Amino acid sequence: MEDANEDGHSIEPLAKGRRADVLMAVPNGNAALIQMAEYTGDLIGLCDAGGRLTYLNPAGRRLIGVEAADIFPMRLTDYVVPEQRHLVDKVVVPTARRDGVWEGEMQLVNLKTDDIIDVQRSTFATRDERGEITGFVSVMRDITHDKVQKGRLRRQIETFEALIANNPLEICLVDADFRLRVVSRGARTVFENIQPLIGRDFADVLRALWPEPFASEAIARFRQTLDTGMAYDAAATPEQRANIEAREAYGWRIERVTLPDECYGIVCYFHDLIDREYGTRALGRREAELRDLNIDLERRVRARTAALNQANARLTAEIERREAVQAAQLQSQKLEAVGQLVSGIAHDFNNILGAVIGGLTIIQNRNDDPRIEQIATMGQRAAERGAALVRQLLAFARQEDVVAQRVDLAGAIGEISDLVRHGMRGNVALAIDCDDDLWPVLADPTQLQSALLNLANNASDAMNGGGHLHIAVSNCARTSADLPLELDGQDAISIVVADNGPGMDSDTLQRITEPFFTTKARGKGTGLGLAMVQRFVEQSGGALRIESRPGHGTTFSIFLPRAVDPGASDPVPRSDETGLNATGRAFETVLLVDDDAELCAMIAEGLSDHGFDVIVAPDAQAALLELRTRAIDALVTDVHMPDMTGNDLVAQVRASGSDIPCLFMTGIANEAALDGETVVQKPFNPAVLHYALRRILIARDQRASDAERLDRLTLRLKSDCTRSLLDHWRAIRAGPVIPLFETFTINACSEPHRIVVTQIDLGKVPIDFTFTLVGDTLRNAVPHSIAATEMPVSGNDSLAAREAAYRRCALTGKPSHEYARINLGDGYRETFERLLLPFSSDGIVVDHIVGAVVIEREAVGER
Amino acid sequence: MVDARELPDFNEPQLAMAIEALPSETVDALPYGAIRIGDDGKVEYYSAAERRLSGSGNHDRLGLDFFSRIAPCMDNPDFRGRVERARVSGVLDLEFSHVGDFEDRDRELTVRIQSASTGGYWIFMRRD
Repeated sequence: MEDANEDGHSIEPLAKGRRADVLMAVPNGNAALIQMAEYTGDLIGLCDAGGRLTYLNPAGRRLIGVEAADIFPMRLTDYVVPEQRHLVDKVVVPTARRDGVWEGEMQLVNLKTDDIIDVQRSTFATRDERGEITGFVSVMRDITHDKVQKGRLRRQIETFEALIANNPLEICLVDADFRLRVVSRGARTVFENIQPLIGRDFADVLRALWPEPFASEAIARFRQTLDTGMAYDAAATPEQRANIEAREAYGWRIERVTLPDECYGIVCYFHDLIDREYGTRALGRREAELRDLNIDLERRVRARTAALNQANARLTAEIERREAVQAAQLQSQKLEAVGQLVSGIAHDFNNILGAVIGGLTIIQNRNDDPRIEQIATMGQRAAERGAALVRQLLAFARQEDVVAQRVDLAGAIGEISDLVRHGMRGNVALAIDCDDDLWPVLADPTQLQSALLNLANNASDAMNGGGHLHIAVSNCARTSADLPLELDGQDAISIVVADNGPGMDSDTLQRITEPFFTTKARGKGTGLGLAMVQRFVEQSGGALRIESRPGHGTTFSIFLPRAVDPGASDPVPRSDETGLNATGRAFETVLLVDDDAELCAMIAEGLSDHGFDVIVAPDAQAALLELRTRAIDALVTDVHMPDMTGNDLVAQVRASGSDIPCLFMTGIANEAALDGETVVQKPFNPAVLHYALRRILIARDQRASDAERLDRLTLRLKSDCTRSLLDHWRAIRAGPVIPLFETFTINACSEPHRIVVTQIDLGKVPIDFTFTLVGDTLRNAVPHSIAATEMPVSGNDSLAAREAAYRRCALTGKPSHEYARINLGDGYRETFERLLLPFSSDGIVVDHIVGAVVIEREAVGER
Repeated sequence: MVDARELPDFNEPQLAMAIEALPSETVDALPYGAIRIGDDGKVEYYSAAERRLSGSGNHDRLGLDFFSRIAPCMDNPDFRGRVERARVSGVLDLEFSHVGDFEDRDRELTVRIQSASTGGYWIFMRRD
């Protein structure tokens, strides 16, 4: 225990001493050693056998921080960190005693800075001639800096290896000893069957991985790169892969690198070619899928855009039509006002003229002077001309009764031709051809004149002041093939007004007789002219035909019944028969609520005239009762009523869950409580109320979606035949547009023998229908009616018209369905079901109708 | 108040007989219209639901003209003769329905016609 305190007490760490004394303690003759010790950078300390320090060189004093102090350390052990001091007595000294030397690392404390200093310590035991221990020499080298450096290097190596180990690509690192040092995450599956792996000889690894001769070749390549530093690329060829039984085939590259510890290593980058191949194929597939999706998307976008454009065009047309209707209504109101003015003035004028004519007559009667007679006669003729003028004004203002008379057309046309010529603008060439021996017609001459003037003026306007107008009047015998169905069995006279103007497209043509429909500029036309022509023809028991195509002019043909001789049977259909044709309007029921009974009655009359069925309620409570018990399509209510306001009434109706459209009538302008509601201001023209009502009903109808309507229709169908046809139609229909005729497949219908196909010509009014296919069922059921390919056309809009269902389908572009079940108590029950579906060649205009007609007869017990 | 469950359904096979068994105020509460036409073609009775039809003054347009409106393909003298015989014999039982007309493209209407026990016939109209 030389180095230890012998009595076991703590030793004073520093004892005062003198350096000279220390030097004296060094044996003589060792001056060179002392000199070396004085200049070396390592700590060199001598102590005696008891462990007391006898010499400590300057480097040693610096190391433990006592170089400037006037002290001399007693024991080196005192500068060892406390936790290692026990090692000195228990390990270092005994080892040095036994083996002569102890070597190892230890930590000292610098007294001055309190820094911990790592040292490499060697402690030797010194002996005398007898072999007795005389002391110990300790040499300590400061390795603090080296340790820091080594730590840094270790961390760098760890980082480097971690970079490789965590890499998702396929990489491995082989060290200079040719041992596998690191395998990347991406490469682990390649080596997963080789254990142990890390630290193993890489040649073994390669042999486990690859068959010969590839393994040996690879080993040689690795060694060559390690020795020479030359990188190597090895792309596997297909032949090589074919020789490898495993499904793996790798392309690889090796490079020699200098590792952070300055040793060489080889980094190998490799990739699985098959995986890449699979990846490339998968990528290709995905790209193809993406391309297909993209094409599909573009197709859908195109289709959707087209549908939107169509919808937009329809919407725009509808808006324009409504604006035109509104403008026409305004114009109509103005005309009505003018009419009222004219009739008022005419009444006064008639009174005045009556007085004038009467006065002149009295003068004539009481006068003998021929000069006065002549003047009075002139005055009377002038007054009569004035009276005729008043009659014309009244006719214009529609205040005069229309009376059908026997009219000699040849004479009438002659009179009209002057007016026609006079009314036409620009350089329109007029030609009139009249058959000799024209039959007389039964018509109102004023209306006939007005109708022909209308047609001529329209033609003149359409031709923009230049072109040919041809009026041909001829007899049309009851046997003639040209005779319209409406005049079946009667002789008629046809008046054809044809121009060579620009013609019309089918959309315009099909609406040309609608009231207020006009193609003329604002202020140029009322849209009533052709509506009046049609009404005149219908009222005369005749028929109107119109034919027009863009670029081919327009032809109007008026057929009027021949006037028979007095005493013969009346050829004009009875008013109830013609009236029947005018029925078939809407059955919408309006509940009208107003406490003013007279006003209510007047409004009800007006609505009835427009085809509504009207229920009148004198107050809100009565209205609520009606609403509970009846099917009402629309509610029209006054706002201010004694028992409840119209607003409260409507609020109650809506609170009950009803979505019935409501319309308010009020005499107070801009009532705030009616914001957002449909309102008509009193006093109003009946047409204004009718228009507003129609508008809210249209809005109601539009709420029911297309799909809902078709679902409902499906439920109404009675036969598999019609159901299968509708299913097919819905399946080939892309969105709410008319399906293409070319996509129709007759065998999609469960019973193709019940199918009829009709081709439509929308260039004519009424529309021309031609059956291109009539199934055996229908042909056998009604052999006489559908023997020819031509559909018999009556031209009126009633449901009874034979082609009406087809025309309805063509004009609306919607399915039409009819069903009849008939049991006449004669032992049979007959059923008739017809479903008509529109088709188109361009997806826009209906030009074909496909129908399924089911006619069945079965025996039943008599009632 | 009439319990709606007690009212005869529009599709009731013997609808005319069921209606004739009801007091007129109950017929008024039906959700569909009922009209009785006499042998001479004049309207003899109309329910409150159908009262509006009388307002148009078109009584004489009602009746079997509905037939020719719905199934014109069958409208021929022979068939009309059969219908007339059935009417006279009091064994009429007809049903017509259609979707769409010119004024209202989505109109759905069903009409039933059955002989009345007192002669003439009933017309029932349901608008869907």
